[in-house]
Amino acid sequence: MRMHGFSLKTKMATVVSVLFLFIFAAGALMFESTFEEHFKKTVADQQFELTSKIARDIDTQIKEAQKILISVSRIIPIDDLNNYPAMQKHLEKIVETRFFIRTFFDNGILLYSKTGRVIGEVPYSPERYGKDLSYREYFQYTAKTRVPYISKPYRSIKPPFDPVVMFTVPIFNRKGELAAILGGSVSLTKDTFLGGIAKVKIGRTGYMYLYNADRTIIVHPDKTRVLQKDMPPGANRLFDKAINEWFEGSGETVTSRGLHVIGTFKRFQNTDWILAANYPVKEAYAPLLKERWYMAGYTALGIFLSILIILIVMRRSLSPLSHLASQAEAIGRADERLRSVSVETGGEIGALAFSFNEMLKRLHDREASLKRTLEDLKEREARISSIMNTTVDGIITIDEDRIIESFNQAAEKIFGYAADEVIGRNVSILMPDPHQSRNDQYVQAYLKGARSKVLGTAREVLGRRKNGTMFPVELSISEADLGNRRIFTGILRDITERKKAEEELQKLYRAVEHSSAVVIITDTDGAIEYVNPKFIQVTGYEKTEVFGQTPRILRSGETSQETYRELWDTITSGEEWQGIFHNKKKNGEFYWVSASISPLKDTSGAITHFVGIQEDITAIKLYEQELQKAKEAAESANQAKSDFLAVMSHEIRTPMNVIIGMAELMMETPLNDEQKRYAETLMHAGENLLNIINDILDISKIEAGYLELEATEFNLQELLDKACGIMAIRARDKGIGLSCNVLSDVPVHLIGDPHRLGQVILNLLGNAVKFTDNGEVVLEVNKEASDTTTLLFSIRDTGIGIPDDKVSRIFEKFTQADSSTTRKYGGTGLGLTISKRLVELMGGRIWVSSSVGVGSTFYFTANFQLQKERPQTEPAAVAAMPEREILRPLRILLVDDSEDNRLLILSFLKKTPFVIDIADNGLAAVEKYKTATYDLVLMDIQMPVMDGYTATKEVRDWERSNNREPTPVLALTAYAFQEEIRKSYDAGFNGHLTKPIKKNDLLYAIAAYTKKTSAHKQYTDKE
Amino acid sequence: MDHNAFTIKIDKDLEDLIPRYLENRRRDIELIQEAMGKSDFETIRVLGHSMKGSGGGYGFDAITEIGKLIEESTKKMDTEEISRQIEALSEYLDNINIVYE
Repeated sequence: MRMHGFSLKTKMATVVSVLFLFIFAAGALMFESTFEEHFKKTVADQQFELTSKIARDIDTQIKEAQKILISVSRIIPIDDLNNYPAMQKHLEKIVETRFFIRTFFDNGILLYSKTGRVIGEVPYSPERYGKDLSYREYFQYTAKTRVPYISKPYRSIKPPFDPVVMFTVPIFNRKGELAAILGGSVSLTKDTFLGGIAKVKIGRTGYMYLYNADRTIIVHPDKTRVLQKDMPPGANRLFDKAINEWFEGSGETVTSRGLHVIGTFKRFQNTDWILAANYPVKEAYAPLLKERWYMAGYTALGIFLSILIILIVMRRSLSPLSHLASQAEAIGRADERLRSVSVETGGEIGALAFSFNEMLKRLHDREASLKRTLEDLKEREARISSIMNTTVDGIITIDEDRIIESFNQAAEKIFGYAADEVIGRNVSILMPDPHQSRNDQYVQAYLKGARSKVLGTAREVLGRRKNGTMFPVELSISEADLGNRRIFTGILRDITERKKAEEELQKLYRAVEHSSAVVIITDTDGAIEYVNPKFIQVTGYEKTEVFGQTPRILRSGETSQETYRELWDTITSGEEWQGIFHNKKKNGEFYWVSASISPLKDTSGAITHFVGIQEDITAIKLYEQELQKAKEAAESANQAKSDFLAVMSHEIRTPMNVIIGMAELMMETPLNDEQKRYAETLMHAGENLLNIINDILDISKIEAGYLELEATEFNLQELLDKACGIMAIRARDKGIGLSCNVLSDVPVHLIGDPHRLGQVILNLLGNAVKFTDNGEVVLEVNKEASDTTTLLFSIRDTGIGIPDDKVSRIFEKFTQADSSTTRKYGGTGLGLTISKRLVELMGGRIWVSSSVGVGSTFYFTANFQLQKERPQTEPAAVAAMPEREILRPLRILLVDDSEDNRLLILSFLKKTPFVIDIADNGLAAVEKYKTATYDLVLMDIQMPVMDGYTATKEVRDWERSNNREPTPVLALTAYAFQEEIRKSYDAGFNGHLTKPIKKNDLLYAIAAYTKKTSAHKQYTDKE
Repeated sequence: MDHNAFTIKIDKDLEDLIPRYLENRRRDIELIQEAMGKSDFETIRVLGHSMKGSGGGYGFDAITEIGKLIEESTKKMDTEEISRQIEALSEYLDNINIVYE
């Protein structure tokens, strides 16, 4: 323990010093107050004495003045009273001879008649002579009382109008009657025996003044205040007291001007006058202040010296004690133990040091033993703590109030709380609500002495984690008596996993028990250890009958020995075996099972059991047999259907071909118009019927799955040329445009089924042309993506379009957008269905976007393979096609103003057998046309003299007027706008070629637009 | 003449026609310049139109392109663009390298 605060020495010195300070200060104060009182009294007394003395002196002088005045009055010759000049002279003589009169009555001597008229005056003043002053207070009073009088102060009517008092004495005649009155005037501001009071000084600033009972100031150092009554009652306490209570003496008071003074008052004996002295306290007590400073100084010095002495003495007598204390403190603080303290002094302190050393020795011994105990304790604690914190069980101790005292690491992990969070809190936070109250009951019951079963035995309760989740806990509680209190130690184990495992096991057990499959478990020798209820149900054996037996009891002899051998070989090598047994029940009945037998292995991989799961498949086996029979029957029926279709196909087509052929033959015989019409109708109906039959056969084949696609090499360009060639004729007949474009990067040497692709294209083109009355049909082939062999075909028309609600059904069987269309346009309604199936067979899909009145675009994709070796003469192959096939030497009129174009076209057609005439403007062309018969006209639009539109119109007009068949006229135009194309049709053009013209386009167009050419035949023959 | 950009492959059948065709284009340049002097845009338009219609047929796609631009420019009377295209045509004709096959 360290000693805090001040040392003993300091403390004692402080206490003694404070004591001295008080004593000195009190003494000084006492002395001071006594001295002050005495001093003040002395000042007051002295001042009163002074004032009294002056008052007495003035009193004496007043008396003296009256005596003088009386003596003067005696010598005034009464007989001459009415003789003014004599009287004046007498008076002047008297005053002259008696100089002391003037020293008292400095303001002059006056003689009044008995009526109050001035009858003499010294010094002489002629203007006052005879003046009636009987109104004067002093005259009236003296005349009435016939005794000497001292007037109240008043202001003289004679310059310099000084304030004065008048002394009067009466003069009697011989009969004793009042004959005259003698007056002596005394100035109050001059240095007379009265005015001199103003000159008296007390100290440096003290002064005296005179006033009467009327409060009129008679003499004052401040001359302006003379004759004033400016001291109202209450302004000066002692002033009032002097008037009202005849107070005489000194006292502290405040003047009417607010000055703090020692005031002294003394009454006169002969008048009602009061002499007052005022001595300002500030000056009067000045010595007192000085004395106070001296006093304080001496006191301070005294205290200082005393403290010094005390300190010296203390230090001397207390230093051994402080030495002892510092050593004791060092013992407390130091690491190494001091054996003892040394104090070189006797007396009480020496004895204290000795005792201290004794105590130190004992303390040392005790400390050593304590240290050993502590180390023991620490070791034990470490051991316990290591157990506490390494055990997987949560250990929690609580006190009798259920407050948690300790919480080990495992408990932290189990509950998710840190120890800090729960220590000091009620243990109930670790329990779900119902347990909180139950735990309270347990602990309470226990504390009452009724031992609860919860103590000492493990039980399952629910715990609550910090995050609020509940979990099962195995809890055992023990109690420890710590003497004054008890604590409870709870050991808990999170049994969530165990519970889960138990439940899992239970679940599996139930699954096996209630399984619809037979389950058998045997040991490694095949002895049955377990069978489930299904086993009993299926086999008819009881459990007791089969335990210890092997599954051989189920053998029927129908399953081959080979199967059993294979089974054993498989499962003993650790693999699962699956197979089918034909088994026998207890009652001898046979049944089929599908069995799966697998070995069970322990953790080391050694086989401990075999599990057999068997399903009774007797019913399935029977179904299978029936199914097999049904299938055979169905297959033969289907074959019959196919045969039927094939036969039908042949049987119907053969007569149909005969009918059509005969119709054709008939048409070549001479017929009248009616017969011709019948024959045509017969032929068309026949062709329609044949088409319908073909479609039906196709769809039947596709649906039956008999349709298989070819994979042959073909040229896409050729295929499209063919298809478009056929449709171009129909399009021209209807007066609509048709163009077929293969984009340049599209591969044309493909492997696929050209026949079926052609069928799809023809179907879509046919539909497009069929449903389009104005405008055009455009086929375009593109790659679906740059790196694919899937091609995208689009067929756009400007036809009637398909309503939105029909679009989705358009590909269904026997569907057309509108039933009315069927009547108008004909057809089976199977074409799109067949196309859709064919496209799907070609790995593509088909769809349509359409707008009623605007037109439709059908799209389809199809997948092809590329031919490995491309033919060498690619462009020639295409170009050569029309050239080779067109045998007839067509006559063509070429109209173009540009020599460049003419030469180009001539060059393109150089190798054909065509005969070509040339015109370089529209007018020349019309002239040429009229003179020859052409198979085709190629007409430029923009030309001098006459443009292509006008020329074509003229040609058409000429044809009509001459009953000529219309010759195909193709526009050669550099315009590519729809509007221009429309205009060209309006003008009577059959089609158009966009400039600059490519050789193939030209040849193709010529082939397409020249009717009855071999090119036409080429397309149709192959069909 | 090793400007690959101006190497054009032309059908052998057209070989006889090409020199004359190109000569006509040089004449077109003169005609267009002459017409520009008279602000005769109609003549320029016809010449451009005809270039457009013929170039590609012979295999000179560039001439078709130039003709098209000239024709369009006349509608806006854009003499600057016309001059630019004549220059382009002139450069093309000077540098062209024809391979017949």
